[in-house]
Amino acid sequence: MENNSVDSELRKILRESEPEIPTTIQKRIDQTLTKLPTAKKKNKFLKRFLITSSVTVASFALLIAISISSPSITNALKQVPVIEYVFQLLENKGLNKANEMGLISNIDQNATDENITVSIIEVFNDGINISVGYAIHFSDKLNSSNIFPDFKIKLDGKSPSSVSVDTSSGQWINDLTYINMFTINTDQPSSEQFQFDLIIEQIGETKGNWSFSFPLTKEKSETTTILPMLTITEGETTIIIEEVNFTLTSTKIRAQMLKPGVLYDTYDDFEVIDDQGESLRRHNSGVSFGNDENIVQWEAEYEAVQEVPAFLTVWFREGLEITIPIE
Amino acid sequence: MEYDKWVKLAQKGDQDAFVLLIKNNENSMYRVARSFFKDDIDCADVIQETILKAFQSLKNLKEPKYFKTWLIRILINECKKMIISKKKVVNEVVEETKVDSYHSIEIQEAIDSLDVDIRTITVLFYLEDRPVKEIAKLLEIPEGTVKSRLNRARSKLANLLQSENERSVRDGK
Repeated sequence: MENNSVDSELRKILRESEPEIPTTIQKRIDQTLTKLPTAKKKNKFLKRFLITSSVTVASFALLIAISISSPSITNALKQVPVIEYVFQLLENKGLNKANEMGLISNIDQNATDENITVSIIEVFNDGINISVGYAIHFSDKLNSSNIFPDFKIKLDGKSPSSVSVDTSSGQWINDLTYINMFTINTDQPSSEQFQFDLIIEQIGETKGNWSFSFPLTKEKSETTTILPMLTITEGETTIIIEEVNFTLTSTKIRAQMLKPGVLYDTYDDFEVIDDQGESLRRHNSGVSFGNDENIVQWEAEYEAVQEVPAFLTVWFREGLEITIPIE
Repeated sequence: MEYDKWVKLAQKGDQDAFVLLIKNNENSMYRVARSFFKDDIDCADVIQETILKAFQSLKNLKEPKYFKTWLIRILINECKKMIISKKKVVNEVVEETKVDSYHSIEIQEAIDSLDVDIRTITVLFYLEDRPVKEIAKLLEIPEGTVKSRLNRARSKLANLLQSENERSVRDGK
């Protein structure tokens, strides 16, 4: 048989047997479409900052099809397994290193509502990012594995004005218990220790109240900060790399862009590649600007590197990239 | 023509038009994402990121008629990024494939048995009707490579499907 007839036969068979979009994905698409971001405003200094990107952050109140056969809270609590660590189970390299250095705090606080028990297992605060490892225990098996808790935080009793959150892919450790972590980036109080309140208001589609309060200490971990002040110019656009910061939980880069042109709209596409050629996963990114729209401050956080690399490359677009040597 | 109109409306900020565009292309997005990842959560993540990216940068699209190609291009980039960032091994055992019949399962397994680079080309060529030249551009590989991989997909799928047919006949299905 000739290729054309094989192709048309294969095309026919493949089309006839095409699977439908699974419910999980269909719901995620619909949720994304109902929560599209509103149009950008371009006026006030530092007004809009951060909170973009990261698939997992974009929509918090997502789906869950829960079939609760209403066992008592006591019964639910009896089934909660003891979980001593989360970061290690999730294989987070930076936090595992922090663990080896004894910088992780065990919290072990539980809160139960709507037959769902949330346990805050451990936290780590490097002064820039607050990483929280948690477990959610359900009283009955879920039909969906998508769990996105909707929460708010307070630092020393005050709600921060700007918060960005990143989360990793969680794990089911048994049929009823899910573990995951999230990392919060926000302006922290100047004191070395402050009270941290975490109020979870929704888990999937279930609204409730799971509140936690505990002191957080800024751990003195290894951080490397360099101020390269490297400049690259192409056409009218000039980019100045001002600061690169390596911590156990993230790699942070700050740059100023003069007359950024189309780069302004693609700031969350910039890629950062380490000296091994590995592209770092982006946690979040954002731009801010003053009265002059031609001067834009770009700031982004990427995943942590295991070792501080000899150099980093920031790729802005085809033909426009800059390599930053790290001393 | 109607399609171009939706794109232009969406570029002017009409969210309903954008929703229509995505709903019209969601099956294609799922097929392509599924060719990279077998896990539904991974597929959902890349599709969600693609929708958000497309929404944010739609005004940069110059030719409305290329919306679908542009959207698939964003999706493929997101899939590649996720593979790099998660060091995803995509050739593992088939997980939770939502299909309707034994026949569908066999076909899906036949596709899943292909390497990821061949699988994506198979989906783009057979299910999305993308010509070889466009697939080469989408995947940023030479046309010759697309052709040779397509050839491998063709012979492997044909063999697999023939074996399934023979088994079905033998088993009296």
